[in-house]
Amino acid sequence: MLDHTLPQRAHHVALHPTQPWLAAVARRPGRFIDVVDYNTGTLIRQVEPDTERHFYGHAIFSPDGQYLISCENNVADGQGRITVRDIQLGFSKVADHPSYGIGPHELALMADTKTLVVANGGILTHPDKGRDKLNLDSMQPSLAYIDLHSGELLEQVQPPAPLHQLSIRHLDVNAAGKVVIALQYQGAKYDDVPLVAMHQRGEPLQLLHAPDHVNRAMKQYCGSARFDASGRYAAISSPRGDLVTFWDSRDNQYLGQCKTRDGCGLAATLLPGEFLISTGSGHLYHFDMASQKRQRIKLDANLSVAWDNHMTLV
Amino acid sequence: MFSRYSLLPVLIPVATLFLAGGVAHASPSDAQWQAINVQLTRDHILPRYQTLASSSAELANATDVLCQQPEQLTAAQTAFHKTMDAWQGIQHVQFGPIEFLMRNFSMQFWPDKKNLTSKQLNELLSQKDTASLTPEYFRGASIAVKGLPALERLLFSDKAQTPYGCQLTAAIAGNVATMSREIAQEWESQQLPRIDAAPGGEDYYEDSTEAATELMKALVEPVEVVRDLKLLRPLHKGANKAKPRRAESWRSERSLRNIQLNLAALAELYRGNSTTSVKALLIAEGESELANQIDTHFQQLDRTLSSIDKTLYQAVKNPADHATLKQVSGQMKALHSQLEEAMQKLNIQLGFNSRDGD
Repeated sequence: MLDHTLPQRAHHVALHPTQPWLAAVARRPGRFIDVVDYNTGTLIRQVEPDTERHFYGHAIFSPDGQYLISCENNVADGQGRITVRDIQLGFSKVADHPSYGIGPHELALMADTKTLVVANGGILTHPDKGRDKLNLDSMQPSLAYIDLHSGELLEQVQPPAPLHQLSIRHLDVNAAGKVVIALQYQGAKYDDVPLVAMHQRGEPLQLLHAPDHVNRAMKQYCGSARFDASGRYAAISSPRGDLVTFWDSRDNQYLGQCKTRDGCGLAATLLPGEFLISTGSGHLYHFDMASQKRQRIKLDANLSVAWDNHMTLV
Repeated sequence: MFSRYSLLPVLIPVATLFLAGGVAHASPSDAQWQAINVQLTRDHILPRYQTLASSSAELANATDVLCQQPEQLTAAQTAFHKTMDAWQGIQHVQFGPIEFLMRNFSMQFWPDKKNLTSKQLNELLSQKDTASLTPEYFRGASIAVKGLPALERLLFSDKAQTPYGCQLTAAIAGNVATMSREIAQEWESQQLPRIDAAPGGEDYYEDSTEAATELMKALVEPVEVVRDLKLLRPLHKGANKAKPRRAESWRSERSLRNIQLNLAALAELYRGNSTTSVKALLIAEGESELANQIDTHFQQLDRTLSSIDKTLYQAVKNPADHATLKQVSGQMKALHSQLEEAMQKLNIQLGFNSRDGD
């Protein structure tokens, strides 16, 4: 296992498509992205945002390996930014686009490799106030499709007004352009609201509700969204409810669930219908949708570790 | 079976490593946690749910009597207080049967920021529909009208009860009694066997530490919740800006008593019995100072809260008491961070991801 000590707690790790590199992104409101060679353990580059900016926890490499693309907060006006850094130019910033919302969190590139899809969580924070949420009454989360090169807003969808407190935080996209979204609700704790959404460009946002008892058990909070290897099935983790739900992206149907204490990190294996789930207590599981079987993957017993929010298959 | 894809060597999630510092103490063993789980379940949780079941059954009787003999209001109010005492003594447990069927919100829909309980009760009172008095109705009724806050409104109102109002009171009390009885039974028949079976790892819990984590959440998290909702919200920004109606149970004038009962329950959860307790486990880990500080906080908080000679409704508006309550809040904050530290020492992960907020 690679053991690289980060400046602070990170949130997500992105994998470079051609180099043996990982980019560990600081947890909000952190100010580093450590790009590390996972074979040698050497730090390739510590990327820092401009002063008056911080990262939000997610970044990706472009499929050609040329760019590092990250979500940032422009602290002065609280508006989200998408920055593009050119790796060959020493990670210098070559583009700085608006995210068209507040609190851009996770982002992905569509199959065309030039359209970004960005989850604007909608929640305003300020580094001086730590992680306090400053605008819950007026928050406007959105899913924004943005041209990687021009920064033009191509399409934007939002939850309906009564559900404006449904924060769009985490997403994944498949080859057919379907986006699966893990939602986090910021309203009253007894409200029973949809916690998963799917979106296909040109169509309205589809908010999905698990069967009643499952939806309640999800505790208004989803942590990660990932498609499987086939791109048909999606897993959504609910670490507060100690479960992971599974969904069919063809017909937006709920398929089932798997109990996993504080399970948050999700990764697809190379086989359809299979996922890996990591937990805050340091466990790692393999789940096969066909057999509905969950198996614990034994880790080195001497390793005292807690898996953070997200996981990437290398 | 999946090793053939050789996932492990190449799987790189974001991880946080915990490095032991100072004198090395082994974390508590699964067997030690199992002893605590069994002790707390049998001596703390089960008896408290049984008290809730018996007191709410008495409350249901008392409200039935009230509809025949309106002069029995004081007796019904006393029965309400006993039920609320019992509920406040087990409110910290937010896992297990209390989670099923929205029972946690059904028992106590609070805080009620939109005043839904009043609005919906007034609607029921004006409709006077006898169909709204049946157990079937209450199974599907709005959570705002089926629990203790609705009962409080009906039993501690300035206006005299109408016959229909009394029948509604009795119906809600019957619903609370049914829920309480079912929760007590299910803890005995479902949750206790799960906790007993935890060491096998085959059933609901993967091991005893996982079961212990739920119990430890019930110890640590309520300190913050009680402070935020029951103290800081009514205290607001100062005695002249206080919001007394944000206090829990202000109509029945028992807001401070609720907080004291909550803290007393947490202290019992912490202290266990003479041989088995979280406190003893901390001491065994070489953390006597921390263990005793936590205990002292519980004692001092109880003493300070007992010294306030007003209701919380009055106290938040009085500058001297407001200051005292701010101190209480500060001490609860200190208690909470010490309990979190204790959990780290005991190697209990209260929810690395679930409490992350990202």
